[in-house]
Amino acid sequence: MSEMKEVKIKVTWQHLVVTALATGVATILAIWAVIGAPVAPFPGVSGLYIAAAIYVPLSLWLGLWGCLAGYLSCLILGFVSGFGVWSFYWSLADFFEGLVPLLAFRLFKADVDLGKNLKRKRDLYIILGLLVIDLIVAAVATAVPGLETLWFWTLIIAVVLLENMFLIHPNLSWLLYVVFGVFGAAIISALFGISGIVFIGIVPPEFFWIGVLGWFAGDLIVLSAIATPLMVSLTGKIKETSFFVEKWLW
Amino acid sequence: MKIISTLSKTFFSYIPSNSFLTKLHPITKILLVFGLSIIVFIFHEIFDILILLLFVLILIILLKVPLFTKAFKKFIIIFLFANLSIFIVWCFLPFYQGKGNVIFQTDYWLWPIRITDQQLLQAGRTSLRIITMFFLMLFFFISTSDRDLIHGLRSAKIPFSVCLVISLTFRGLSMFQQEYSIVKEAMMTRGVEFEHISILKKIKNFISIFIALIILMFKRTGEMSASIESRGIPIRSKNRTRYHYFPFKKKDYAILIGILLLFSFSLYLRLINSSIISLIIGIFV
Repeated sequence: MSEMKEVKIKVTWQHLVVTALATGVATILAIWAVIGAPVAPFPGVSGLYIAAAIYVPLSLWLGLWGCLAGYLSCLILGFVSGFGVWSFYWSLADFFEGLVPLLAFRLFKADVDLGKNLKRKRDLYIILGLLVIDLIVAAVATAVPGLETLWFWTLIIAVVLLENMFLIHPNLSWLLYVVFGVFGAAIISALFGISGIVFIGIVPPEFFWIGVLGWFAGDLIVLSAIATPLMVSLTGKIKETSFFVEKWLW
Repeated sequence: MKIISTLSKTFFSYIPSNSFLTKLHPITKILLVFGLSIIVFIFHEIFDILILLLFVLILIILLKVPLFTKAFKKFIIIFLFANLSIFIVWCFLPFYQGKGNVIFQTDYWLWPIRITDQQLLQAGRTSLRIITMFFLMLFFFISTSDRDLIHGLRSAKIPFSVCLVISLTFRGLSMFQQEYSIVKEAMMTRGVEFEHISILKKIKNFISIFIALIILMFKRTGEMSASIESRGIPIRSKNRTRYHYFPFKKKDYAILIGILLLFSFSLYLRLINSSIISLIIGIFV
């Protein structure tokens, strides 16, 4: 009887093609977002960056290929916005935005299927909505000096909301997604992206927190309102296909 | 929106011309654009940046393309208008208190305004840098077609798989622009409203479009990767032959040397804290 050999999966054309096409989709959305909801005076920044709602779920489905799609889409956006060679540095913000939730899910070995055994969906969405509002207020409190007390209370409210969310649906994946996929991804990307624009010298350092606020709020809204339903409704189906990347690259 | 649809059809808004600049090797053009976008940040004096901007505009004029069409004019006006916000921030907003001699001050506005000469210089410097980089990218996009770029990258021995990914990315851009319109129109024919509805309904409708786009994306990926694999094209192919050759010519080397010299010159000016104008004055006076 012949022994069954373990098949080693490597990088295939499928991975490369899906990265290219995902970049195409994300770039179209990125350009529309920047034209439709610009954040003055930050070129290439949008108050509703809908591209993030595509490449953050993609990075959880396709591993590093999804992060790469985020990076490449931002790179093309940077070229169109007139960042020139600086786009290579600035676009890392979108790479990290996909990488943060991916790292969290892979390190905690959590299942990315947020829709599995999901009960009380409506309640979860309401808490997520409240959390987003609370975090935007927290970001305003961080940007404007003298609002330290408000910032402290928003932090307390955020912890209480997260705790309630976990009580309603005691699931590690949901908690990881909200903390790292929505909040963590948006804040890391905003801090890196705006520091890039300030570093290049396009806007004065005094505008750093205003820029972070615009970027953070824009990403937070789309990640919670668009990316979350996409994760809930599509992850189960994508996991059944050969496109799904279980580790990092395959 | 016309210019956006024009851009999205090919993404590269390439206009064929007989100019020697159009016939340059795509790698040379990439290095020219990247090199100048670094040099514009090394230059510190506003007149140096202005000279560089004029140089870039001359490059665009030398392309001999009908650039000032209605669509392009609109695109350039939108960009310049957006750039104005950067100028305003550096000049008028109260968060930034620039150093230097006060040339305008008022307390009778919504907030106290204090404009200094240094502040104005910084505003001009930043705006001119962004305008220069924008025109550099415009120069690249109108002088290079996506096919030329891929042939150029292949000639520079960039792996075939990387070139194919870049090519598919540009194809994907135009493909999904069309797919988006098709999905949206299909939904509208089924009675789905996109205008005059609440923001929550709007988000819900857009989620439906995104789901359709993602599914289409995976479908197209399956078709394309199966087609590539069925042709037996390996991912790592070292000795793959090609039909189009794009060799480096003497003019390409000349331009690359020129960029290197300009880069060294800009570094030298920055180190001695001087400018082109003061250097010229120093020579003649």
